[in-house]
Amino acid sequence: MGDAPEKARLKEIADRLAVLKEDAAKPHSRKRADCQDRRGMALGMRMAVDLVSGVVVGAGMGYVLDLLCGTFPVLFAVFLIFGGAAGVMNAYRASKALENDRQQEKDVKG
Amino acid sequence: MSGPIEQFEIKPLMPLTIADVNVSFTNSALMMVIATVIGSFFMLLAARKKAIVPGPLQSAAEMLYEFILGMIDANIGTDGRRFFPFIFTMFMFVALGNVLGLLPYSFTYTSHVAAVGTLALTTMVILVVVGLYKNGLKFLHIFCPSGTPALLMPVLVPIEMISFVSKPFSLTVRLVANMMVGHIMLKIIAGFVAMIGLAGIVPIGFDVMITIFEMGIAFLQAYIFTILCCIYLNDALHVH
Repeated sequence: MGDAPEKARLKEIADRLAVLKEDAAKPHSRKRADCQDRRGMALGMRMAVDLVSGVVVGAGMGYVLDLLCGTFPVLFAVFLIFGGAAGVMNAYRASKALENDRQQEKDVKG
Repeated sequence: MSGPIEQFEIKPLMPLTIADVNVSFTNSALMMVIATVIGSFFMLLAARKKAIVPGPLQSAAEMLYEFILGMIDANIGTDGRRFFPFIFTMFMFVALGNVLGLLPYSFTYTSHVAAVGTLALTTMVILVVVGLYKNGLKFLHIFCPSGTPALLMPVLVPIEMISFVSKPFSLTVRLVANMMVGHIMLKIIAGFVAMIGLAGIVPIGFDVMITIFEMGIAFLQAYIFTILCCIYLNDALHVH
């Protein structure tokens, strides 16, 4: 009498197990998706500060080098510009990493 | 009424000077000890039973563990798991520092450049040592990416160096600034309460909301600090 619903239930469990096993076979894909939002926020924070910190560190390095060499404004000015470039490059790299992640996400889904 | 900056003042609790170096036990050090003790006891108590069906405490510890493990797997890969103890400890230390700092009469050691800067520099030292050990001189390729024309070298190498040095700097500034801003904001708005009398209920409500918001920021900033350390470690481990 109760055979049919029991079988249906067993089949449902088997289906669910199959899905879980499939997920377990590709361990990182799901975790990656879970992390996506928080990772995006982390990257945003990273870019904002990276832009500024490049300039500050560049200026600091130039100033210290100037004090050591006794050529005050020259290296300071050059390293200030290098620092700005470094900041932009850091932010660009961070955005590229995000882009790569999105691409991978698409590849996994598609 | 005390100013909004005074909460960040470091006060020696046990003045001590060894060979002209001030090594006093300060309120900052006390909070670090408390955070370490709470973190250690939490993990030890949670791991004591080792139940197959975990209780609430063990569940919380396992969630934290898997959270950090997932972060390492996603950002460094499975060969990054050897850094798990370091990264997990750092996350707990920063997160507890941020959260404990929100309690009244406590002190936020993550709002000081000296404390956070040391953490960031430790990470960078580990990164350089591990990078040199794993990749040898190939590690120096992070200063000149492959395929760089020789003409561009004198420009690109200093830029890469600045970008490398700015990593611990930006790690530090981000965490310190976030913690400081939140605490100053709380204090200033709390200052309004006494000033405007009965209408002070409005800033109190504001402060309650900001405190909840700051709880979120505390964990988010700890998360960002650790995930960026993971990303930087990944750059050093897998040099292209």
